[in-house]
Amino acid sequence: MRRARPRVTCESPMAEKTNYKRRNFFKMMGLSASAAAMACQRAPVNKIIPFLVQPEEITPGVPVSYASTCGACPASCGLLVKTRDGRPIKIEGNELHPVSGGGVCAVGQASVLTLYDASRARGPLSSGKPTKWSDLDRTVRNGLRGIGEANRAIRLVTPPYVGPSGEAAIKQFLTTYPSARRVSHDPLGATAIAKAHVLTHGASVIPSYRLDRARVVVGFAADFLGSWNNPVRLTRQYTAGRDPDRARVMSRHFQIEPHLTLTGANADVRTPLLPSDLVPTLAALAKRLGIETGITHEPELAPALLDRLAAELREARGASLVLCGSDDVVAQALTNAINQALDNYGMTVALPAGVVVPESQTIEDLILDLRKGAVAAVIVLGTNPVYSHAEGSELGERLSGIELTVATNDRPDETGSRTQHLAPDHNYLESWGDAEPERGLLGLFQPTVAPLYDTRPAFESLLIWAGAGRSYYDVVRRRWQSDVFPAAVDAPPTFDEFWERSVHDGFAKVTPAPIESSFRKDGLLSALATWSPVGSANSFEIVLYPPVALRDGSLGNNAWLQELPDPVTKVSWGNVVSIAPSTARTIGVGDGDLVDLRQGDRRLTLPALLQPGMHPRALAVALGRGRTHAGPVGNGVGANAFLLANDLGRARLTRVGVTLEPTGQRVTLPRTQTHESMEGRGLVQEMNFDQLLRGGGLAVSHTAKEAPPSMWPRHEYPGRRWAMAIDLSKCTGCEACLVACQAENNVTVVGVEEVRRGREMYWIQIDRYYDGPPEAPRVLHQPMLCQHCENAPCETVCPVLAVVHSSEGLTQQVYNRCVGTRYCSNNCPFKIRRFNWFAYPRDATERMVLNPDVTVRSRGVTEKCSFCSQRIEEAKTRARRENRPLEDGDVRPACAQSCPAGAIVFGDINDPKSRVSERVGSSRAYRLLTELNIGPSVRYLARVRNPGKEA
Amino acid sequence: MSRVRLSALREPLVTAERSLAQVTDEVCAPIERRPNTRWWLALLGAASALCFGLVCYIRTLSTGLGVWGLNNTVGWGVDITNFVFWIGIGHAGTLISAILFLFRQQWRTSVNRAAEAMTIFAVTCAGLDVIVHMGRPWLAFWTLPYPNTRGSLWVNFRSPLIWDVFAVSTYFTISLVFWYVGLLPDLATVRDRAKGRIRKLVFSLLSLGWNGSHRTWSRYETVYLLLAGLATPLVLSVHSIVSMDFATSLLPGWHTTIFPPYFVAGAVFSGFAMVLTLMLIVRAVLGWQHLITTRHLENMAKIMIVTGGIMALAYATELFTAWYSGNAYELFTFRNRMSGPYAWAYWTMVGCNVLAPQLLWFKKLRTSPIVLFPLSLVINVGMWLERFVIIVTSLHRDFVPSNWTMYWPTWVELGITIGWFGLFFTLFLLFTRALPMVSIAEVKSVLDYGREPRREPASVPWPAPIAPEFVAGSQEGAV
Repeated sequence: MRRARPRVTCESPMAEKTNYKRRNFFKMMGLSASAAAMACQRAPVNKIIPFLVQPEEITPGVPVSYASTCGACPASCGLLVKTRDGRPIKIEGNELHPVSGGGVCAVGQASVLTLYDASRARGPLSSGKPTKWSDLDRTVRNGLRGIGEANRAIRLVTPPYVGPSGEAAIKQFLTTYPSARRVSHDPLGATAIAKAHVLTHGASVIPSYRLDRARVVVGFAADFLGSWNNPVRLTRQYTAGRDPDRARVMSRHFQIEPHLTLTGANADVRTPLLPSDLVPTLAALAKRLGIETGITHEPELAPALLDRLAAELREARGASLVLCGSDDVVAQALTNAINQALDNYGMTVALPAGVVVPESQTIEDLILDLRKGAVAAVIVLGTNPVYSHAEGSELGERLSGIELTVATNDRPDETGSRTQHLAPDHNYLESWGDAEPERGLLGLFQPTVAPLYDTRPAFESLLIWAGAGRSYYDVVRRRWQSDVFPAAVDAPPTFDEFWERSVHDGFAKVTPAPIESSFRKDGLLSALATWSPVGSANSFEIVLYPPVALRDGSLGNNAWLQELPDPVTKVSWGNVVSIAPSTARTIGVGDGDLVDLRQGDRRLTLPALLQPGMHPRALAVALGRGRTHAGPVGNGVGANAFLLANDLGRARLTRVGVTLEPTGQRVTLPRTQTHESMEGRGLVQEMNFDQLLRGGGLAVSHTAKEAPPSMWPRHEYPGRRWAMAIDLSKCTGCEACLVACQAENNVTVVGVEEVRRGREMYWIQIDRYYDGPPEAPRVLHQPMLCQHCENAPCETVCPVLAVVHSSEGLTQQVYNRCVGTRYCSNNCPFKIRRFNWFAYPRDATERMVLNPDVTVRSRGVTEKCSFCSQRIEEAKTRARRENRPLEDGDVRPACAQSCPAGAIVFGDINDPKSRVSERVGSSRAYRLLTELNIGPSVRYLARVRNPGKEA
Repeated sequence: MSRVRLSALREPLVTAERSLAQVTDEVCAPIERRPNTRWWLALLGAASALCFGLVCYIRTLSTGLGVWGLNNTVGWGVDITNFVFWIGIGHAGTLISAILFLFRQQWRTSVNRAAEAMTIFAVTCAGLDVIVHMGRPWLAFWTLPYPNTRGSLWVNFRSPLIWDVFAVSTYFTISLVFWYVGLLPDLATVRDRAKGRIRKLVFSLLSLGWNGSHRTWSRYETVYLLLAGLATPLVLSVHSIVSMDFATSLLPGWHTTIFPPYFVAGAVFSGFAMVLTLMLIVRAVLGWQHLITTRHLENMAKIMIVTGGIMALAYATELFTAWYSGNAYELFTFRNRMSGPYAWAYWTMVGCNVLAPQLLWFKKLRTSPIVLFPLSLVINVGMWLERFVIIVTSLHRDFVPSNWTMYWPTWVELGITIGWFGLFFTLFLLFTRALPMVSIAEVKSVLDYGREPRREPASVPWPAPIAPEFVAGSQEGAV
């Protein structure tokens, strides 16, 4: 049966009615069809393909760690880079590494975030526009060739020292272009030590120190636990020499410094020093040790203290150490002379195991050349002198007038945006390379991820421009084959095996070529001859110091580092002018008052902070802030204090003749801790070493009855019971654990406004208290984290059972059950629970750093330390797979793993042989707030000081 | 009929001579005429405040609780201050209607209706406030123990917040039922007077077929008595339990055994202040000075002296306990309250809650509406501050000094606070136009109290009050 088709009429009644013409209809139809076609493009095809051939070492969901070397600072610590599905997500210390020994500082931990920085250059740029590597190389090579043939000057701006392969590449470049000179940029004045050693010992070496062998350590403005030299190694050695439980001898640490540093905070005896008084003080000490200096200028420091220092140093001859953090060569030369007089060379100061700093010009030389117009090409190798040099703006302007400028910086930063070409370097996690943290030890970088962007190793670029184009991997490997392998210490028979082993371990030991050095008195005297007293009777003296988190500011776009509070000032997201409280009161300045600092024609406006422990006439400002081209995170955070370091003389980072004027404005400082006093509550307990040796107990008894009567049945822990013991004697307060925890547990960054409001998210924080008078405070540190109480106050009050107690003693927060009443947080006596006030944003690239084992918490829920329960479960699974019981040390939370000092021990307290049980049994062990009968699972071991008789 | 000699001690509860019909007319008038400009202006103000609060809450809901001023250390601030404040306000209504009913305090009849309405609106604010303060308010139903598919995840019966859920919801339910049952005769009166069809239908439905029979009255009175008995313990329990939110915690300044009676007294204190505020306005605006008499005002003022005294005692006891306990944390908390950064709040609170009520000792002052009105506002401010002081000063500096911080509410939180007042007054204003503000039936029952009996037999109230003849004949002169 066929249905009659409805007849279609051309002139429908509808069309007539609406006056809709056929042509119009077709027009509209065409328009809408094309609009629909444009709007409905095919969705982009995303390919999700399973591994057809699964790489041998990768099991989805199981992390793989690769040994590598840290590229975040010149210290070059050994790393294990934990990757998941081909992405590095966490940086841990390599315990086999002889220098860093398993610790990593906050900067190293945070450097993994810089890998995923969306502000990195996506590929080579020419005049700010994307280009191809081949085009860029052709332009640069042709340019260099022309300039080289005309014998016009080429300048290569590099860090003071790079790894051996890098040095070889630089050497090859300099050989190819005879008119090229190396300019080293040393923003923090670290090479002053090498320069002083040239004078006093005839070798351009930064020596390696052995703090663990020193019985008396005297630090002169050297923040060796915070940001000076190699903090991870020095922290490890420092705490090793001060373990009150293992030795009958504990080192004594004197610190003499203008502003309170992390190192000063840990010192047994600390005294403030006027920066301009450093050389006279050292000279006075040298004189007491029998060194003729010719400096008669009397220091301000109390003679009694100097006498004591001299006596104690002399007594510990050969087992003492004087460290100086100044960038003043005279001060360093005096320090060398003192160490020499104390026979410390070869004992606590190892010159042959130091770092050789090659000869090079300085940025000042470059600027003078630029002013003369003598330079035709400048190649910047990953440094940022336009930002981190006082004359940076002039340098930047002059760069634009030069024929050829190239930078290998990872982004168009202050310097990279001033050069014609940007040839972005790999992140160190994407690249091969090597480093020499000390002579005789080579660290190897290996890529842990395929390069995210179209970047290329800087040294490969350099070699290509030198006409020796080859992959940098080949360069490194061949150099290791030709130079390293022959000198290797107990190397396997073949190079391939040696290479395999070195890549696996991340380092190789070699026998270094000996260094010729002997003490030269004339060198010292010639250095001293250049010194003249700098007076400033009525103005301030300023110290510009590298902060623990940002150092020279090169990782300025790293949100983890920007948010990390300064261990001493507890200021995050910016820098401040630290002023002694007494001085601040005299001039009428309070916390957060904006002040103008003037030094000559330079001006810096920053908020003030009343900082106990400051010398009354000294000011201190952290460097590393005030970036302008770092990226959206780091731009405009704080002010750039490098501006004030504009003395073309010797010491740039301490300046005299600074004036300070209040502007009348006030800001709220973003600080994570605003109350400085412990209010006598005995949270951090202390004792003197003598007292401990005599078998003394804790000063304040926190040992309330262990099991008072309770209405509720006690928890049974039939199997394990996890516990933590934190040795306050070892903890220096460096905050590496904060970043470790942040990386491990996907702890969000909240930003400056939220820190101001007291809403930082850290699961672990370092509480810092001052005790005593503000002129000479005793500083107390205490890592504070969820105490996983037995009778947890948070557990009982949650209406929806989002906090539950595990059979292994963990207080478990169930995020997806939490409704966000915050009652748990209110009832937590430690206030260490964190509430998600917002849905904190993370950009798409940054999300790649997230640890897939840990839930990313949503808005409106409470979170807190979980004792890294994911690591506990992982260790259990591993033990089960290996068919063995879980052993002590299998589980290490991120904070414990990263701690350079080994202050944190985690384990099963039900196992009497575990390390944590051993520590809990210590006479120094105590728990917090026992009078509340909450039964914390975290024990603290009292801080032991060794101030000696006169304290 | 012969004239009856009345005791000089008996004062009329309704001061002006009114017939039963007049009372009905008077009370029904506001809901039967079109509202005047003043009412519209008031509603506009209240509704604007409510809308502002809504805007603030929408901002909170869309962005996160971070738009408030709370932080890691101070997890509760203005939000829970408001909650406790409104629960406190909600106390007076049930106290007046249930406890005074059981104690046969007949003066309550002309204020109980409005006071109960106030209770319900205040508890509404409090209940919503608890949901609003949550991080994930859309999951608020998880605080209810109901069988579910999540492995039958249950609530934590140890948590005082769960006790709160039960206490507040029970209190709200009972108060609502009690209020509604009390409304039934009046709803029927309004129904009988209704002119429009819709109005008649609505009030017919609301009055549940009330027919005024003896049986209806008898059952009504039984139910009312039973509900009064049921509501009375709730008056004491709800604020006791709210106080346990604080008392069962371990925070110095919260962890105190005196909190339950202290909070109940405070609630009655603030509740009566709020009743006074509202009644003084109603009385002046509607010209009901004969219904809500000076005697009512005075009685409420007396209750406020007593409860204010209890508050003063509680404050002193807290301080004494802190000192006598020798507990350093406790001692610090109270020292910090008195001399710390929130000392202004503490001393304002003391001024408002301890010193200001002392004026009520003077009869002249406590019978003067002009004095009582500002005083009631002052007490309300003081009681709000009391909760603020308890919550914020205890939290902001507790055990571990490294976490000490300050808390300042943001405009969003304050906007939400304004919104609660907006909601409260909007509901109250609508109530004044929708339902009889005074219990007509109950007022009629006391119309002749302390008054010579009237002549007109036509206006004998129904149900008849105690026959005057009987009263006069048997217990002449007795009260």
